[in-house]
Amino acid sequence: MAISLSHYLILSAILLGISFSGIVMNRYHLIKTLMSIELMLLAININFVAFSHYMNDMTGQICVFFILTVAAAESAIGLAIIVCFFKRRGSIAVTDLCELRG
Amino acid sequence: MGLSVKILSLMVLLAPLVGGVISGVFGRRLRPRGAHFVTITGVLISFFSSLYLSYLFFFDYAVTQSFPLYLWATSGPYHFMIGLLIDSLTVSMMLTVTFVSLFVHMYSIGYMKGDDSEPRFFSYMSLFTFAMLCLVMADDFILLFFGWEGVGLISYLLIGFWYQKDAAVVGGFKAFIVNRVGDIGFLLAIACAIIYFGSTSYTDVFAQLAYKSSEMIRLGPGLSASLMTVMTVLLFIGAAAKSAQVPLHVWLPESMEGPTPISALIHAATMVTAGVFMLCRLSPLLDYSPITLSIILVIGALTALLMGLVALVQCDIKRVIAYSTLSQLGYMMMGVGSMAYQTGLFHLFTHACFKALLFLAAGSVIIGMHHEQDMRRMGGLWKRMPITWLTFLIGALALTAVPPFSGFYSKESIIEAVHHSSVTGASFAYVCALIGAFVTALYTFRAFLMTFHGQPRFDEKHQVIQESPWVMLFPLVILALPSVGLGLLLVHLGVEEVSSFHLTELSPAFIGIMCAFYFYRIHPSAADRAKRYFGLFYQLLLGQYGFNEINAIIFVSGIRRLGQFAYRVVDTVWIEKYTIQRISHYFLNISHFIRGKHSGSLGYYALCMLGGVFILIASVCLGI
Amino acid sequence: MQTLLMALIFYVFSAVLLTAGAMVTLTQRSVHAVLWLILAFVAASGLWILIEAEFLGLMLIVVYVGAVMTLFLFVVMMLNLSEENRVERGWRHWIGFIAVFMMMAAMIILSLSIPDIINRDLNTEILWAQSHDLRSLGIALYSDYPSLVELAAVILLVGIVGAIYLTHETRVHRKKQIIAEQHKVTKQDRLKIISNL
Repeated sequence: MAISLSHYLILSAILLGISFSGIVMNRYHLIKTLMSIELMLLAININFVAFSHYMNDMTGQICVFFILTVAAAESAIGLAIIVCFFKRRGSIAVTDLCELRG
Repeated sequence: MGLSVKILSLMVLLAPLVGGVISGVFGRRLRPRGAHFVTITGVLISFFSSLYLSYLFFFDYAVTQSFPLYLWATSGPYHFMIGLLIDSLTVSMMLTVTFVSLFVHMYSIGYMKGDDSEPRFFSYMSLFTFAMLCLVMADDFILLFFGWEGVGLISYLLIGFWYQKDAAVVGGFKAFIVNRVGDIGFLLAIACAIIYFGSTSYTDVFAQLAYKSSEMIRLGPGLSASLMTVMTVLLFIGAAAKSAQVPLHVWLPESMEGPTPISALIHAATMVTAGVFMLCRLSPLLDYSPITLSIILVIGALTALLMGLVALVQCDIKRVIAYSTLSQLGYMMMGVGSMAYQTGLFHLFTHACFKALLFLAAGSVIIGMHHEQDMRRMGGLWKRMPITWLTFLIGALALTAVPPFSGFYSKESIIEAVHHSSVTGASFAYVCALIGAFVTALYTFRAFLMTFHGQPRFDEKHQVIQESPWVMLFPLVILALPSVGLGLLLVHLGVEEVSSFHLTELSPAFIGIMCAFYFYRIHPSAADRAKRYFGLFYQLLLGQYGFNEINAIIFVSGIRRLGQFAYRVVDTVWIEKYTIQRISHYFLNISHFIRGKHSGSLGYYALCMLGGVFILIASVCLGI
Repeated sequence: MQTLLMALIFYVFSAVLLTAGAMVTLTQRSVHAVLWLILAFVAASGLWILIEAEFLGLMLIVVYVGAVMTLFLFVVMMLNLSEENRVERGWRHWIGFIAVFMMMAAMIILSLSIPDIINRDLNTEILWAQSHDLRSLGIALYSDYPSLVELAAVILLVGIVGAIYLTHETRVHRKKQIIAEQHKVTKQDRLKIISNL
């Protein structure tokens, strides 16, 4: 009943699926999209940590370290963009982000 | 030997080209006078060179020479050399062409005086001379074809020279289109030469004749014909279009819309005889195909008779001469068809002189009458235009084949050759030729008498009729000389021989002349009565046997229908509707589809992205 | 015994993680979503500590929960969205959800069917005892990847600058002092001479 790498991988895959479906389903809340992206990054990080542990290699953890950094910067800028968008439109619905529609 | 044959023949060939190009390119700057000088100098050089060449060939016994000029193209195993072939046939044609061309150039100075585009006219004439010389001097089918097309093109340009006149433009088109029919035949014959003989050179083709003569060509399922027959029939189709033989003659009367010197040079003396010349040049081929000879003979005979009859009812002086040209071309073809090629050529030479003379004389009359061509408004001109009268009479006598004028010897020898020929259809042709001789005399003297004798039928008080200037009369006089003496000269030189004077061949001409005098001089009302007696026949002749109508029905409306079909069905439905519009509809639909997908919905994009990733991973994992 | 305990802990944390993740997307209210996300991060950090990535697990809680999630919460509260009428339910909504899950499941199955990944599991027990302490992480980070650390710092700086730039408002009619303009002033700008008074 030992917990193997596969367990972690399956866990992270399911988490990725949940967060992806969060992006797909969510139509009115841009912040939720951003949160789903955070969740996706978390799933990726779980993968890295698990690989790092089971392959006894420190590089995985270092990757996680950098991913966390980038994710923090990304969420800061993403929230700033949302604030901007809200100031301009009065809404943060994803359906209003349709300037590029063909 | 002085100048070599090669240099001389190149001078003959290129001098008119240089003159024509200079006159054509710098025409505006040269002014008419400069254009006259340049082009006539070119033709003069050409004429004297060919005169010297003919001296070399006929008196100095120069041998036949063939020399390549350059390699025009190479295609697989075939090498197309451009080269010249100089023998006595070529030399005599060169002499004829340059001689007539020279005097027509001179005559044109007077005839075209005051026309706006004189340099253009002279340039065309010189270029025509060049193309005709190419045709004559070629030693392979390629250069022959080049000359052939060149004269056709310039004929088109010159018929439509007065392009403001609708009739001239239409006439030019007609000439061009009918000649295309012949060109198809000619091109196919060249293709035959390339396929079966592997060369376009005359010498190569002739050398292989003996063992290729039995070769058969499959024309279709269960249908095959001898190579020689196919090839010569194709050649004859080309020759028939250029020499205006019966089914393809319709363009020649229309070509009379061009200036008269052109009618004299191109549509009487040189270009229309190119077909005859070509058949004579390729006579070794014809010898192997009796069927073709029969066809040529019969068609020549039909042309000679039928077109002569049409000339009887024409009132336009140029048209009478044009139809007589058709008739005489028929005689030449008869000479070729009866395997007496030299008689056809002999008639070609004499005809070139006297027909050019007749045309130029007619042109002189037309200028004198202030561009009036209808003979019904002429008459009694002989007092006012004595020299034109005299030269026209000489031409008429030569055409009628009265001894000792040149036409007599040539026509006599043709009729004689047909009489003794063993080719199928010779007896029919013989009868046609005799009737044709009678008809020739009748229409020639009808035209002569209507124009120059009788009561003047124009307004004498208001029209000042005077003799043409000397620059026009001089060529007439010069051309009258060979019209009188060329036959005698050649017979005395032994080039041609005439066995004896046959009453059967002489009498039709004399009877014809007498009839003409009776109808148009003694009893002018008899002509009207005859017209009434043969009303139906008269109408038939006036309608020129309905060739134009038949063409209009079969070809013109047929092709128009084909064009309508192509337009309505092929173009608008197949191509436009089912191809182009359908393709555009596909693109439109695809873009509509894609536009619908491009919804701006972030979730949808993410889903599609995930689908892509899924396909990628699935293909990697399943090892596709 | 220890293995069983670890498995138990793994499953508990996993369940919490997945539930919290699902609730992030399913919940109606944004504040709740952020709170569920925080729970998910905490659970994930527990899982990381389970496989000896203690430092990263604590980092996750300190940095993410402490800073980023607070930021999220702050923004959500600041925008104060009225989201009652923005709730969506319907078959189209669920088709996307089901499609994503089907594809994810297919991908997981396909990935696990590659033998390499399964085989790697075989030597897990041998490597279990290796230490992943903070010291070795620090050595690796600062001796092997110093330039990347610098780069991460620059990225964070850019994040700060970008966020400030985007949200900062420039007031149009604000009174401000422009030194250069003041220095350029000449007599003609200030004085107006009226002669015929």
